[in-house]
Amino acid sequence: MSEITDAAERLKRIVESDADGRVNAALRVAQSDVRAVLCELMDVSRLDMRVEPLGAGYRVTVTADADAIYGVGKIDAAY
Amino acid sequence: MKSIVITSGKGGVGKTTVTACLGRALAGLGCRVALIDADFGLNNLDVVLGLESKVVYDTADVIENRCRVRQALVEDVRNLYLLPSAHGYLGEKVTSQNIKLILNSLAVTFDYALVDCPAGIEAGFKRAVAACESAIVVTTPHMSALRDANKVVSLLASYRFSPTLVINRVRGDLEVEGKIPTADEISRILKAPIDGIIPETDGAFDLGEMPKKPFELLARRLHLGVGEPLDPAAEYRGIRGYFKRRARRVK
Repeated sequence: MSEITDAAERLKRIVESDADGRVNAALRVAQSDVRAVLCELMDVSRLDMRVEPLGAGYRVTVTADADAIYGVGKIDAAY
Repeated sequence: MKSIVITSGKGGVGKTTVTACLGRALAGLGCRVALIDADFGLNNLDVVLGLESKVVYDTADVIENRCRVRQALVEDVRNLYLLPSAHGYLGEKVTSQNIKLILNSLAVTFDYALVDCPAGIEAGFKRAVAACESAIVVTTPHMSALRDANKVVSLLASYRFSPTLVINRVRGDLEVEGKIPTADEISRILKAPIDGIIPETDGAFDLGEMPKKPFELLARRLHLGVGEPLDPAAEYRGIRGYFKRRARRVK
C-alpha cells in the first residue's frame, strides 16, 4: 500500500513533534552551557544554535555574535 | 548465548506474554532458552507460564548467594527454563551488573536469554537494557503504545542498540479499513524493522490458547533469519475479506 493512511499520518505527526520536543530540550540545556562558557571569554550579544540531520547523525551549528573578546577589545573593522 | 531484552515503554502491551510465547517457540526449534523476569516488584512471568507453584528460589536468592543460578531455574517445557523474579520488592538492590553476572553464568548452557523488562523507561528499564546485547520492542498498533515505542526505540538507539519491533494485538480488519497504521508504515515512521506481528486473540486467557504460528515465525526470524512476519490483514482483503469485515463488525 503506497498511500499513507490517516492513522499513519497522525502517528507521523506525533513522532515528529516528540522528536522536535526532545531536540529543543537538549538544545536549551546545551545553549545555556555554551553561553556560560563563551561569556567567560567574550561579551556575547547573540547566540544561536541549530540542529539539522547529517547522514545518520546531526549537525549542530553554533553562531555567536560577540561585541568584544575580553583582553582583546574591539577589532579593526577591516579585519 | 544471545541475550535479548523484551521491552515496550508502555505497560499492558503484552511484553510478558510475548516473552513466554517466544521462549516456547525458540525452545520448539531446539534452542535452550532461559527466561529472566527483570520486572522486580510487579513480576508475573511465572504466573503467565503457570509455574508460580514450582518456584523455590528467585533472583534475590541468586544475587544474595543463597543459591546458584541453576538451582533457581524452573523448567517449563523441554529446553525452556524460567529464572523467577524476587517475591518481595528488591528493585533498588539489583543492578545491571547483577543481571549481567547471571547472564554470564547462564551463557555456558543456554542459546538464548530473554529478559522481560518492566514497563517505563526508569531504573528498571535501564538495568535490564544495560545487561543485554539486543532488544525487541513490543507495541500494539494503538497511538499511545506506538508513541511510547518510538521513545523507547530512540532511547535504545542512544545505547547503540538496533531494536526490532513486535506488533501485538493487530486486528487485520482495522488495518484494511485504515483505522490503524500498517506494519510497513509503523516500521517506516519508527525507523525500526518488524520481526513479528501477533494478531489480536479475542478471548485467549491462557498461554496455551495463544496462536503458535506468529511466534514460530518470529522465532524463525530471530534464530534462522528467515521468513516474514504474519499478515493478519490478508484474510480481510478482497471481496471475501469485505464480507468477513462486515461480519466481524456485526459481531
